[in-house]
Amino acid sequence: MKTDPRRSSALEPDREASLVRAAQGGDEAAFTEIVRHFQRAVYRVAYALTRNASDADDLAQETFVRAYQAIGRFRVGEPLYPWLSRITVNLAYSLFRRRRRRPETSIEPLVEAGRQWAGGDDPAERAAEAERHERLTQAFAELSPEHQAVLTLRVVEDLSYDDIARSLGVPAGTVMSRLSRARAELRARLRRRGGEEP
Amino acid sequence: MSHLSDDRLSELADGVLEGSARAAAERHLEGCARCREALAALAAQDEALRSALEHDPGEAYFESFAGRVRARMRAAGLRGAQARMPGIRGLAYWFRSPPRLALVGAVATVVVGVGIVMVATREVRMPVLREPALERRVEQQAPPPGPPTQPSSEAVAPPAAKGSAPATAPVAGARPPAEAPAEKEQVAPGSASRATASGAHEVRRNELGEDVPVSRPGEFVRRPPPAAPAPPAEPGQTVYARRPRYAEPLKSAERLEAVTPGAQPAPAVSGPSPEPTGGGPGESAALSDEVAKSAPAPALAPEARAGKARVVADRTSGPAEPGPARLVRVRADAFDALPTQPRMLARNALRLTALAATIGTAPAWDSAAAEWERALESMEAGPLERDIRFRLAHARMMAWRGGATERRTTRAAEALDAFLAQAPPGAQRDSALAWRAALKAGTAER
Repeated sequence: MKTDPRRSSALEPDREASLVRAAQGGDEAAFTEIVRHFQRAVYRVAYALTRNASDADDLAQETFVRAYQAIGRFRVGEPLYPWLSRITVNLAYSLFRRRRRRPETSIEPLVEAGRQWAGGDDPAERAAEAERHERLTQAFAELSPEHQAVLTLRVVEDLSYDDIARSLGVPAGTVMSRLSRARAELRARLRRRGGEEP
Repeated sequence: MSHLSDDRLSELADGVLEGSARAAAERHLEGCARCREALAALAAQDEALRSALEHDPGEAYFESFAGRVRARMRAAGLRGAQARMPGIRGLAYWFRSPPRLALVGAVATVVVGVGIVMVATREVRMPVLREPALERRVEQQAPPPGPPTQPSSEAVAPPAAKGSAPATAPVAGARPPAEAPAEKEQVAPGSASRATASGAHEVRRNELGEDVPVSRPGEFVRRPPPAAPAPPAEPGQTVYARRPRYAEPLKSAERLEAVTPGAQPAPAVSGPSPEPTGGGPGESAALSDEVAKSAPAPALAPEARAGKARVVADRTSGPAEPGPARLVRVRADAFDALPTQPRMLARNALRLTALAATIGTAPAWDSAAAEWERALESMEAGPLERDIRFRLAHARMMAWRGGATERRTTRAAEALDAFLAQAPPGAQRDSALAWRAALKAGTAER
């Protein structure tokens, strides 16, 4: 059964705290449980930021490796998922910087597009839907990393403003204004591309 | 009519707008189709974006995801979270944190800066160039004038105390080095009489080892009190004469007496000059007395200054003569007008003559005569040259009397002849003639 990612991104606070304490004490089983619980949410964020399954897989695994290295510094009682998503966003920022210096040509987007094309029944409708997704993805990719991150955490992960603020390390008021500007920027880029809005 | 802003539309889309703001926005939306369309477009955009950015890799992917993560952790060499707990990591790991590295750098910069400031502003204490003990002595006040104390070589200044000064400052005697300069400072300007009363004055030692008082221009010095008459000496007895160590500054009343015309500052040797008696044990004493009374004194009397005489003992054997006639008075400053070399030679000859008169041996007189000859070689003709020839003849004569040899006889005769060749009539010539006759008679006897 497919689990709704936005409802599975949080544990009961007591359970989460006990798992964190056990992981800080070296309990790999406890950390594995944490991985299993948050792997989907982390992957969603990684994929939204990279739009690439391979990069998303690498980013998601590296997120948990880094979390395992830094679990000793995590303050028990704080929500764990914003901390994990912050690691994912920072890793994505690093990936953006590397890609900007050294662009890579990948066939992954084409594979992903073909995979989605194969999902529907009406070929014309599937083609139009794919075109809208492609246009929207390209406009999203043109946004700044900060706008991509805030839109991902809000639209894809449905995090609250406070959790987004913890994840990005900015005040909640900054989250609100940054989110508004990101939405407006995305809308403007879609208009410039000449197509109708989604 | 103002429409809803992008921020307000975004807040409405996220459902975070609350209270009166939400109510006002909803009222606006009821009457504004444009804002309703904008809000709907925003919601559709979010939904389309969510759909575009979502990707489901499948359940199989997530079944093996945790295992791949563990494998990656092992590949990275991670052994467990406890190995990376705070406090058990190494120093190198601690410095890997950029904020900590920046903190360390900031602390190091501050420490270095403070060090530079401290070094640059460090006050260097100048070495103490003044002696504190000496400064305390300088600040002392001299006591009111009291009864003058007799200078004594054993007198010692009392301990230094603020408000009181040492009463006496003798010339000689062992004193701490720090007290000597302080003693000079005690003589305040205008208080010379006080210093005189206390006997404190500066003394220098000349090349003959004598203590010479240093007086300021116009200042008079007191001649030391005359020595007490020596008791008659027995034949062969050593007679000691006291030697004045220094002169004493005069008091103001005594200065007037000293400058009075006709006043005799120093008692001259008086008395008729006994004639030499030729050979015999008593002749040497008589001869020395003759030298003291007749020859040097008249010639040097105009140059005489009080307090400059030296009295030496004449230790000779022979019949005792009454009174202090056995004292030979020679003058140390008789040759002050001479150039440096003859003056030094003459003074040295004087010293040897005094020594010979004390010892009384022929070799001592030979040494004195030889020194007189050296002094004579460096002198020009004149009264002093004749005086030295007379002293040379006297020394040769005394050497001959101490131990008559052919050589001494010859030298004594030559010295007497050289003096008599240019000696004007007078006491010295008469004495030389008498010595010549005695020499001739002594030679004939042998």
